[in-house]
Amino acid sequence: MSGAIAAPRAPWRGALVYQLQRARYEPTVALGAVLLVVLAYLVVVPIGAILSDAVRVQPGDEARTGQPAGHVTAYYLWRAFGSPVSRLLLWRPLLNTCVVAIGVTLLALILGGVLAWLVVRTDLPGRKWLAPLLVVPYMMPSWTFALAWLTVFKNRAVGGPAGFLETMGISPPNWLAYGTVPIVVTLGGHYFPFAFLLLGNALRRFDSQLEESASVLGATRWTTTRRIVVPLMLPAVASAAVLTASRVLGTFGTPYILGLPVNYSVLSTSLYQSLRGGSTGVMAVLSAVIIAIGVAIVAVDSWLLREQRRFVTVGSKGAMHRRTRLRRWRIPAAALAGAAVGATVVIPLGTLTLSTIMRVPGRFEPGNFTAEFWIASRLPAFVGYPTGLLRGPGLAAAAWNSFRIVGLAALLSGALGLFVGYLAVRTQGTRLSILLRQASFLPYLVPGIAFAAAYLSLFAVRRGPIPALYGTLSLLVLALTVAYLPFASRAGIAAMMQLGREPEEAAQVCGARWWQRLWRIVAPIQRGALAAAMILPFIAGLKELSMIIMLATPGTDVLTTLSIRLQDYGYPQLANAAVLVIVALSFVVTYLGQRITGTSLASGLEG
Amino acid sequence: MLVMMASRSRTLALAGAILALVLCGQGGAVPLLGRATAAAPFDLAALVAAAKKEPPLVTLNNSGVVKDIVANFTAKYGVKAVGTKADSLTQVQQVSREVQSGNVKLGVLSIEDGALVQGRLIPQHFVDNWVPPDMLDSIPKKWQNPLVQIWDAKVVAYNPTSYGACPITNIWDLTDPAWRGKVALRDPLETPEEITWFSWLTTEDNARKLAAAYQRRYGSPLQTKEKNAGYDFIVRLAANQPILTKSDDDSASAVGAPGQTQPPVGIMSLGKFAEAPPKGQKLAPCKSVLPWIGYAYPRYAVIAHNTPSPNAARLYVHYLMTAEGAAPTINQHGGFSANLDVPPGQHEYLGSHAFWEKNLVFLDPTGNDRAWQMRDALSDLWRLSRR
Repeated sequence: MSGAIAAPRAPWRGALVYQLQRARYEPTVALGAVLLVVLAYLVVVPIGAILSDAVRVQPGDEARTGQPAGHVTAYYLWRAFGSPVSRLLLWRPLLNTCVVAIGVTLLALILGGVLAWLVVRTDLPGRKWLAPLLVVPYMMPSWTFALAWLTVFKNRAVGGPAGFLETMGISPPNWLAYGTVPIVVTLGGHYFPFAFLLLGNALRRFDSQLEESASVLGATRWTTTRRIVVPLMLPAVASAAVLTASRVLGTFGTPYILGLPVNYSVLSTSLYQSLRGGSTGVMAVLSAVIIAIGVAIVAVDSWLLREQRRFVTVGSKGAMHRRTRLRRWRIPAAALAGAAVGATVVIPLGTLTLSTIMRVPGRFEPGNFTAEFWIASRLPAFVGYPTGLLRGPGLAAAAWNSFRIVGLAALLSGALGLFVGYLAVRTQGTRLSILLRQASFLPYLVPGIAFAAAYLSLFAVRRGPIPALYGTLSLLVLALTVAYLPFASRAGIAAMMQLGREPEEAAQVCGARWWQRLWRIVAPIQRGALAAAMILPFIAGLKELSMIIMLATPGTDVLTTLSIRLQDYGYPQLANAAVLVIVALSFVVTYLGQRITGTSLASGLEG
Repeated sequence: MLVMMASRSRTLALAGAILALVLCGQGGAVPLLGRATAAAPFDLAALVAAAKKEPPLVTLNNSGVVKDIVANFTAKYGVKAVGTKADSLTQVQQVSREVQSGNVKLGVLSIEDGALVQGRLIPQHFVDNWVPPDMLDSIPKKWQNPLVQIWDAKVVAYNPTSYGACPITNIWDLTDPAWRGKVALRDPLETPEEITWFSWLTTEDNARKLAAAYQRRYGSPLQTKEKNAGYDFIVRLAANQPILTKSDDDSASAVGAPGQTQPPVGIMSLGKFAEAPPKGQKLAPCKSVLPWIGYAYPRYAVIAHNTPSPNAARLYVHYLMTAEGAAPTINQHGGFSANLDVPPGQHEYLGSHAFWEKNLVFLDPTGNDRAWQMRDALSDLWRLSRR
């Protein structure tokens, strides 16, 4: 060990040997560099691959473009932006996406904001119960509400069994059954918990003395709101808006269920149809458009956050959280909050449950109720899934795939996130640290469906030593791991920030190697953080659809794709039952997660 | 690691194939499985033995009956197989991506999109065509490349409870304002088979029949900006706000759901008539529509290139072409096997074979090249004509 240092032959060589020796004990820089290369390949290269697909002739398109495969071409750009069908491929979906994103964001902000204020700042009865319930919609798959909507409002403008209302003789108009209105309502009902949590936390930190001082100084209620409350709340509102809008941009299930039957597409469904139709080039162009919008949204977010720094509320021990007395509005306000829970949780789940036990949807006659869609050993007319949901091997296989794929991805994502955190914190202040943070955050800019398209494109063929992964579970695991890395690495960085260097240095003095320190000191201390960093991706992955539907092959169904496929085959009872299974699993895992980590998403909001 | 596993299974498959060749050599003078002439004996036992040593066969099929076929196949030969229902687009995506990536898992595709099989999958070597050597004489030559497994049909259907008889007597009725928003069919952009049907409507012969039918319906000759009556029919059908469904099951329930006063009509495959009664649907095929009541279309059977179970795949294709292998499809759908030695079944819903010939457009493999060349243009025509 000392010999090499003692006998340097040349100065540069001695320096190198010394650095190598040092690296054995403090390999963070070297490992950080390796990790950066890996992240670059998993994050940056896929995006490059899909962008290049957009301007290169894809195999099979030689006749269309008149050029050999791999040649640079503007054909796909022309088809998506300028051709007669561009209106249907890109422009109308783009417009619809914008309308839906704005509508959902507004609805979510209003609903989430009002409820947050009621729970955090007023003496609303039952607020302790309400806070956790208001987060429940987000724990369900995003298209749960859409399926419930269709179960009630589906009319005869599309095929398949009619909805409850139609069966009862009331024919819902098209605008109520499909398209913008139901998509905005159902997605708003799914995403408002973001706004509720973010605005609720902001309101909780808000010192009510500021308002009181203003009113002592003679300000009217309106002036107080305009000059004090709104400016202080603006950053939280902006964050909630940006987060909601970027989620809506990449969401697939709801517009697929409520839009496509009437030829209403958004960018994500248009992208999916291009994939199915084999138009890889057009799919690449649409992915690029989605990525560009995603980047723009996050850019706006970071600009707003910079603006936020201009306001610093100096909180002191004297900060007060006086609750507004609702007086005679107590009961109506409680009714409103209860209605929100009812409309976004109880009614959708109730409707879906009801629909799975009715032969003809909406006919409330004793003979029409049955448990066969759950437990029958043979459903004669359902050739694609010929048994009740719980009896067939399809559900067990899909559940096993879900647990296997998502569990592995969550495990990897959590571990990788913590490792990124460790290296980024230990190399703090260097360019490497900044690059590590940025690379691990990058997937956040890319909506899931476009990210999956990029992975399809990168791993379609063998590239050098990297094997083609198409059709393997590894591809799904890898894509999900990287997609959830931003959340895991955030958690990792935050956790590592709190762990000083000292315990490690003490071990180093005692002669512990780097991996021993990592294994015997860092890992045990960060066990809780690791669990937290894994549970969030796991719950998100369990209800993930948009990425998996792009990457999974028919043989490898997970629970979410099974549900969508049953819907496609025209077996709504089975599809709804499958979604209920996902909801139940999601609830159980969330509950276990909260028990293990001792945290709750909505904790503390009710004060 | 995955690559290693894949290559190992390929090695195993290769070993199996070699073994099969050896066994074949002992059984008779067959130089290579499948390349045998019609005269040479076909050694089924050797194929079974070789197939048993391979990984389980993975097969996709447009129809859900694949579950029954696969179960019977495994029971008969002891060769494991997994069958999944998947539409043509999914099958094409999966096989082309698997072959490109080198991770081939698929064995046999039972696929309806013949234009794409012939226009792209075979030329680009994503799939291979294989005709059982012992059936070369009983399968008509024109149905051998790619191999037609079975003929099914899509016909105009109506709800007999709401209408005493079929309300559609002329195919142009489907484009008439009286049926605006009341014709259910699978979305052609999701089901390229429909586009193949469209391409057949635009042949000169068929366009002439359509023009004649138009004159019978409206009393005056068709005036059109399009190239012929076939294109005109497509444009009008698209503009008549048809109910576009994701599956024939959805079309069937749109038409057949009980309790409707003025239900739509639809174009759907024969299998739906058998499935209707247990679902409580009222469904009947129209039997007299000018010039046709619908179209007959083949389901092809092709083998994924470099499949890990080549012998199991051949055995399965052979099985599909026997009476036993065709039975589940024929019983469910009421079609007929391309192997003319297989009795055509009862055709409970559509009468005799002669009736098919007279009343259906046959989407023969001979038209696949034309259909493939026209596909993009016809898809765009459909898209742009929708209102």
